Amino acid sequence: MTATAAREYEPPPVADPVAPRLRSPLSRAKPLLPLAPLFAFLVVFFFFPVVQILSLSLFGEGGTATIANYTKIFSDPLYFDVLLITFKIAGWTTVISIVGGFPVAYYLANTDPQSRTALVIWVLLPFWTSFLVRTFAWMILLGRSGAINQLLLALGIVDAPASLIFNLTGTLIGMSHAMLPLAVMTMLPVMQTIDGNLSRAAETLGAGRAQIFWRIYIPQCMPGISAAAMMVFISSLGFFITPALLGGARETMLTQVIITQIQELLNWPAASTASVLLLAASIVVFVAYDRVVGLSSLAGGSSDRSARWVSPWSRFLDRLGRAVVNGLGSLCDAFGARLARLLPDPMFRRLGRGTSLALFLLVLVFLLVPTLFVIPASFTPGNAVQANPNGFSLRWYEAVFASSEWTSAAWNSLVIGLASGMVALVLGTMAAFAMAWNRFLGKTAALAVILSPLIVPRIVIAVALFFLYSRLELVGTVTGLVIAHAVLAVPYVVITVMAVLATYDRRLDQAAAVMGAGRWQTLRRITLPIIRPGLLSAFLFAFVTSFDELTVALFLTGGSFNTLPRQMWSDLLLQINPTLAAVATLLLVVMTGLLFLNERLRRSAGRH
Amino acid sequence: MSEKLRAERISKRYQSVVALSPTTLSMRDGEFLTLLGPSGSGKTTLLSLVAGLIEPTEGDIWIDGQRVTHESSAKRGLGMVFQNYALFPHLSIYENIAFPLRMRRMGGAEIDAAVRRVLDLVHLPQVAERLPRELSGGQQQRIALARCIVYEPSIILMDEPLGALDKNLREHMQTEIKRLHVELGITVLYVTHDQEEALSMSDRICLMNNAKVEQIGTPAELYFRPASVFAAGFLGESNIASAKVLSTGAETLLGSPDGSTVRVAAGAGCRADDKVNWMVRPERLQLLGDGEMRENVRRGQLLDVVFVGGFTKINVRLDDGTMLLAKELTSGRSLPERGQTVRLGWSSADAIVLPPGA
Repeated sequence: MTATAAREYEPPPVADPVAPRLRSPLSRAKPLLPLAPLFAFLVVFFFFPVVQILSLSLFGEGGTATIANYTKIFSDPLYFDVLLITFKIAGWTTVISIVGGFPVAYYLANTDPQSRTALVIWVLLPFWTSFLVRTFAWMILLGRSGAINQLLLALGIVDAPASLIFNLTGTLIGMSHAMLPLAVMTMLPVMQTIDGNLSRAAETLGAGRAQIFWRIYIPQCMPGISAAAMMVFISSLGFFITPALLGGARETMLTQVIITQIQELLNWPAASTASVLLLAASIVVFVAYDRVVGLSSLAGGSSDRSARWVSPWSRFLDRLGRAVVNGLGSLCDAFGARLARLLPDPMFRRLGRGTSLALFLLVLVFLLVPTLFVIPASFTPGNAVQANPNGFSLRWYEAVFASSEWTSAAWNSLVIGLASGMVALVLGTMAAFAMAWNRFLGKTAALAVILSPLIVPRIVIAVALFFLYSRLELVGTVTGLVIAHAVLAVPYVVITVMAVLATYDRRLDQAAAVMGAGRWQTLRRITLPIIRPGLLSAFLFAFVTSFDELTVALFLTGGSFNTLPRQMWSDLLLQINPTLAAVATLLLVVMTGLLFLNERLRRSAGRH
Repeated sequence: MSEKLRAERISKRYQSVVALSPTTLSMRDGEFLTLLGPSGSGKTTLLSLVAGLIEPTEGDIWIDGQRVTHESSAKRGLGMVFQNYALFPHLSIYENIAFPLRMRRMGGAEIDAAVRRVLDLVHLPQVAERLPRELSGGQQQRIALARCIVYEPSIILMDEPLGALDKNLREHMQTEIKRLHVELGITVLYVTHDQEEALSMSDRICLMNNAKVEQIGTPAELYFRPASVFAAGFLGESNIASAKVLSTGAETLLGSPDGSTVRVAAGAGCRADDKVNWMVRPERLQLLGDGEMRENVRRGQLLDVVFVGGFTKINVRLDDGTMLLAKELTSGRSLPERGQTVRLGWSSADAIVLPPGA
């Protein structure tokens, strides 16, 4: 009994030529040097301003330390309400995204790899489509005379137009639409690694399909489901575009309050206090997740419970979960047995497969179709935004290209996207090399530091940078926004490049070294060319992050200096006009093009 | 003994790809039958068809006289041990073994007794509360067996169950599986690509190649009477050459292309002028001393002598370029030097004519 099957999955670490304990501490730290630029960058433009802005909540008007801001916020029923609404909306969005995302992930995980790659693009398409474009599409669709109400009226389902917008329904539709792809993409890798033999084994052991699904399949999916739930919930907490445009006064979320406090009331302590609340809520969810499920399962690793201390709370949840899935298994089994008796066996089997396909298509239509309605709306000859225009005209495109506001905004977005993408790529790639190819104490902590711009709500970063920049006179400058967007994009770059490096065969480097290549030569002639598709993909991701970014731009742009999302936002708040549909269509085309480009890059990266 | 399993002209096609040509197979109660063959030979397809994990294109399957062709796997009452064991990672060892019993709605006390009993049977009573990943490969293997045995399935199917283990452990587990087979009198359908495993464990071996059965028989039959060139080559080592039948009778006389003749004790239903292959096992070839004679003798140059522990391999190149491999028990006696001319001989009873066309 020497070999353990479980341990054999782990690839053997590449042997270091020098035993680590023989080296001095200084030379031991040398491989970690590439981390330094990114850490310095994050300290100056992320940690320092964020800590500073959060500490504002602890001071009163005279600069004395006080907890008055907190007592005020907790005694004010308005804030309490907003907090409650924020949690309610985030919670419902999470539930809808998981329930809707599960059949999609299930279908994708169980289809053959070739169709999976093709289908994943369609799921990701709305994820890449500009946030504002999607919200705009829903505004067209959900309005009183929108396409959906017209359909409902035509079918006789409702007598009068249903109110689908400026309320909770509209907000939830928009937010689940935004979050579903995230839920699917988080669940999919976990579901793909589930060993198909387990279901087959359960079948030979006498379990019916319902029993297999609930007792064997769902427990295997749990790491994916809980990770997806956490990601969606935390992301939802920081939303403001969707509730602002699709919700009513009752759907004011915490982020909107922060924006109002600063932009209209210039009340820094109040904004800071609300930011602390938002950040605290995110961190609480994050920590709770780590305690119950374990952060390692985020990275797709199995949460090894045997190796660590299991909290009683986690054990209780575990037992509860078991009881629930076992009960559901038996229940569905009994129900399925009835159904099976009514239907002939082949038909029963087809029913199962058919349901899974039908659910998949239903969710896919929900994800893809709404955005397409902006295209016909952009060609309207009239002055109103309609999903079914009478006629065809390019006048709104002409209007866009003739307007200096739109063209300069587009130019700014392009320049900022490219520049911040480059900054993020250089800093992130260096860090990724240090992270992927070294084992060191505190690696998890280092990763947490790098990923923290993703965890801290964007609005907090935006407010923090606004405060910092207002003293450095960087507000309203290209440089300022490039730095800010690089902060937001760099975690994606690190994750992408680390993933590419994880599959990189380091023996190629060793081979090059044996043949006489130095470190730099190896890097320049072997490593970088091989991972180039991955680097381009990371760059594209960073570019899109910047190109679509509104929250930070909302604070750091101003006067005649605007970005595309910022310009769209101002127009959307003022009035909906067909110019927006034209801009949205242009963005849709560009983003789709980039997505397919990225997909091709990813595929050629996979060939190595 | 009664017939346990019968597969009647069963086949499987995926579009134009034939995974299994029509195959007929029968197993008696308590038999240990091994499907042996290279990868892609259709052995796992056949096993999956019996298990009900895939549906046959044509043909029928009977278990205990019942036609089960279209029954789901769950209703066939089979046990299966998977190559990677397929232990449920989220359930304890106890719950893994209890799973089939729970699916059969057995009572708690009954389940407990059954689980304890099989854990004793596989000598692992102490691991009940652990999770599968906390066990070593060999232990996981035994638990997979226990999970199968616990509900007393009528047939246990094993799909390369020892493939993931190292050599020593594999041999140990072979004995363990064989012990359980004998002790419990279970019927086992076993899949492997390892010929030694098949030879040492099976009552009968079903040799498969190119999606069809090459030969079914006891290990000895397959070894000493291979029915085809493939069978002769796959099981054990062999010297195979082509020849033409010169005459038949009490002894068959074969003529090689180079003009030499080979005498074979028995024919195999071949007629004069048939083109056939004949073979002789390396361990039946002997290095002959001066003046020693056999029915068949060849002269050649000794290429090398390879010492592999218990026996020694001797490679000889004949004058016409044919290579012959001889194998003899290592005795310590001095062997000829490399490059020396040697004589190899074998008796006519040790050569086999492979059936024409095979």
